Amino acid sequence: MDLLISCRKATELMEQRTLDPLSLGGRVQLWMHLRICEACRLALAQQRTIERLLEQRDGRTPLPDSRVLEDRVLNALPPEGNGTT
Amino acid sequence: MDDRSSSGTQYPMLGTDPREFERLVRSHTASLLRFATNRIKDPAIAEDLVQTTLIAAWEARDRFSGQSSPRTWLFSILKHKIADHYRKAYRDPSNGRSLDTVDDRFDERGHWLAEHKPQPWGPDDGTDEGDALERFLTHCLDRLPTHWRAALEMKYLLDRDAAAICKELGITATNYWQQLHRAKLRMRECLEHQRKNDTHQR
Repeated sequence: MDLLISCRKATELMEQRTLDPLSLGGRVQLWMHLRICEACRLALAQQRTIERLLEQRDGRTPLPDSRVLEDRVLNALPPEGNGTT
Repeated sequence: MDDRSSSGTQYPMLGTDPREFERLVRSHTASLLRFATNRIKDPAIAEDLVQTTLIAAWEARDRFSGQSSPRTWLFSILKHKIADHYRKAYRDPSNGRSLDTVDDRFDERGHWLAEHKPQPWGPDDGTDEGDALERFLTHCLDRLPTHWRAALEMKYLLDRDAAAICKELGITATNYWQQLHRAKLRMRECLEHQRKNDTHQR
């Protein structure tokens, strides 16, 4: 296994890590790379910010006015009595 | 198999009373719509998915068990609808697959190309609470090619379950990493540009 990896590989591992734990080899490779590469350290900090923004986006967006849609939905409901109960 | 005692909470069953369902629609539609429009570029499609979600809920109301809150139940239906939308969009060959081979931010040795190298996002280097950045988030998401957006959104819709995502999209894990990776690089760069322009304007 090559201990020295490229920036492309390092950013791939960073992304992969957000879904699954890395293998021991992957963790060592990423750690070594981040020690020597300032650009990838920056990319990692930014990736974490993006990840947080994506996770929290609903709480940070104002609620839309949905009255028209609500009326449309209520008018489109199949008539009462068609349910199975 | 009654886990009411362990969960401790039991919500009332949804009756057949339409007024009860109307209250549900009135209280949750705005949140559902916000959730959908934050994830789908076309507002008409987002509205459509919320509408079909609520109608599906009405039709399945006697199957609502009360083990989760009605709100959680509605959101899980909506998540399924959005995932289904992206599964179809992803498999549609007209969604610019050609980009996959040309879009790259690295040279042949895998080092950052000078013009794509990450730059600090401001005095706080992207470690702030994201107040300035969140205004650009939707803008940048909406500029992603559809299948990259699909790859990205699936991650949050399917709770980071890589195996489930790959199955939905019909691709290998390696292929999925690559798409996610490229989508995130594009997002990083877009936010960086937006942030830079914004700072210059102040």
